[in-house]
Amino acid sequence: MIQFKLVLLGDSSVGKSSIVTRFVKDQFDENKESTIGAAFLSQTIKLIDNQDNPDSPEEVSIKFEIWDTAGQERYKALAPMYYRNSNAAIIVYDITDDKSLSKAIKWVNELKERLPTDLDDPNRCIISLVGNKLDLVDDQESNRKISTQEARDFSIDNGLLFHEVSAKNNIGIKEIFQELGEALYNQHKEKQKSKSLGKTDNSKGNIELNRPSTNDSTSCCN
Amino acid sequence: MSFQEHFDSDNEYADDNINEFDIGKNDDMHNGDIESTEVAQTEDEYKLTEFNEKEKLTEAEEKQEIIVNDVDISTSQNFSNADKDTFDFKSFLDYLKDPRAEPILKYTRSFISQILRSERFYNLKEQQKLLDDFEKFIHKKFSVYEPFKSMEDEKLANAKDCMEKLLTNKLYVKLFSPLYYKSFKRVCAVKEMDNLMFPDDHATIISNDKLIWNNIMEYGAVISLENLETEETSEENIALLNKFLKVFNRELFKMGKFRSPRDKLVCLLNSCKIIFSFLKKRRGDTSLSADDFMPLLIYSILKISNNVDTENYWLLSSMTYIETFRQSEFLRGEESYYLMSFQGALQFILELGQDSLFSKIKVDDEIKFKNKLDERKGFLVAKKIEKEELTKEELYKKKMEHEKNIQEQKNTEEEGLLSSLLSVNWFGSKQEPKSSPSNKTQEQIEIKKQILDKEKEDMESLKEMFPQFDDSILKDVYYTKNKNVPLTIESLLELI
Repeated sequence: MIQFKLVLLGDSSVGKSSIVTRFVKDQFDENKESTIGAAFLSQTIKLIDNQDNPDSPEEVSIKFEIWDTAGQERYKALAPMYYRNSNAAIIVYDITDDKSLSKAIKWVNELKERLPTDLDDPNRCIISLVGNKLDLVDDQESNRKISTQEARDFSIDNGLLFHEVSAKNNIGIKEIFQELGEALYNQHKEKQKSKSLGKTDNSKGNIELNRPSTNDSTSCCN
Repeated sequence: MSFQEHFDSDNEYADDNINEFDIGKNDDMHNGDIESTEVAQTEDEYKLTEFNEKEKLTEAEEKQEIIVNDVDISTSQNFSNADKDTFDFKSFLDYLKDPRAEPILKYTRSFISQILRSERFYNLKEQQKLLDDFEKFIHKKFSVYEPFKSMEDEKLANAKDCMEKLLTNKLYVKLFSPLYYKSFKRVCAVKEMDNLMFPDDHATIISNDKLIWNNIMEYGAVISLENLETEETSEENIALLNKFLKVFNRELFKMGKFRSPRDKLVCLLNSCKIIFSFLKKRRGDTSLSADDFMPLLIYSILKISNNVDTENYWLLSSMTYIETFRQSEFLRGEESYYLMSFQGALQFILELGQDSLFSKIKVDDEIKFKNKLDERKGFLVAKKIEKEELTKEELYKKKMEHEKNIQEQKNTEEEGLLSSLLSVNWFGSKQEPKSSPSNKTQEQIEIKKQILDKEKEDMESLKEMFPQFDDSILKDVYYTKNKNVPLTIESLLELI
């Protein structure tokens, strides 16, 4: 089992938590990892790896540890403590709210500034941009305030994964995590390969999760 | 003992710890002084100590000394650990007492006493490395010596966990920032050295902890749920919340009393769980998230202020302590998440005292809020002064009592001497002992009067010398200098 830390960012009204709740509750029944409350959830998905050996595909378990952040503007300053050492991030906006994409873009830019996100960086944080509330535009296209094209273009330009979903109707949720899982797994495998080739890798590993360090400027009060 | 005691209530607390921890006072065999070795301990050094100790450490009673007597406090109320039934701290200590595990006990004992004896002050990173290295070392030894050698993985993980608990319990005064500072102060006083340096990171944590506490006391009474942008709550809900907050508060209080990072962490997780229980009760299970949790966590911490006379809980120090000394293999994702959330909440509270207050909290009427805050601050200052006066009075009473006793003792001695002289007087007549009860009271009053007169005199002269100082200041300095006038003058001169 390979574990990845995933941070969840987005304004409080965009429904970011319902995306995760939907994902965690619908996949498997077992949800025993979360003992305290719903701000931290974990979920495991299965992938089929047939790249190396197409005849006998291998099943791989990927475990997401999902760190929710408070979406209210006044708690924004605390976010760096949460996204530090993240392997992946889901940034959520509301397709029926014309201001919400620009807020999501701010998050993208902040992550690009503070975390490794270059495509060729073996430790890069993989970002998925997610437009929620697809259900509200199903019958009435005029509710849509953010065009799919605009968000997709931005995602392509910035090397992000991109989805439009409905947490309410469970549309596209599973795909977000499946795609993220595959990308993370491929990245993990690349790293293992380069490691076995003797390349030095002096930075954090994928499986090595979030041991908070005491001398980080973003960490509390040090 | 640690549970009932307020570690900040008096100076003796730390002394108690020292005595209790002074496990190595009978052996002076440690040449591997921790000051001369670098932070990283090597196996060779342990071996050396082991060799030295071999001659010394044979008696069973010595072995007994290492076993902590108070650490078996059951931690979990809400957050229970299933392993606890089968493998608790007590059974770990029993394993450790197994003759076959003797080398492990010796290594541990040697490590603990070296650290306790060390008079060097380490920063957090160094301490983390010291403990990490030793833990790694001793974990390797687990696979060499029975009964640990044949333990299955789960049990062995518990043994590692318990080893952490043993070490941190023993070394608590040297690891937990506020207590570490106290022992630093004591060393400074004993050695009369001014050039000793207390590590910056510990110092920063203590000073931030004080600021956080101050903000909790000041802002906590004023800030409402609306200010923190939670869902608006009815009075009914607030009444319910207050009940939850009592339990929350108790967990945080307990966190300060436990010594091991694991036990502190359990309290922290319990407190977070209490907040979620409230949310669930109020709203059902519908997609609760960090949006709901974070503001309520901050609010709950701020409401410690409901009890104005509470001693500092040293929350930030506890967070740092858990973060630093909980072994990473035991700090899982969920635990890290809530530890981080707590640190985030403390960070938020720390920054309340800065200029941008109204960007942090949502306030409709800023002037009204500021007035309320000022009122609260005034109240706290008044409370503080009142408390100080009380302690001063008490101190004064104690001092009087003390002097009275000394004087009495002196008198009795003199009387004794006198009567013995008299008993062999030239005339051979037997003299009755002088003191009778009524005489004694009379004398006491006399002595008291003399003391007061002398004080009055001293104060008069001090006033004449330093007219620029307030009477109360003169009095304060005079008492702190044990009524020694020259010393008082000296310090007063420094104040000018």
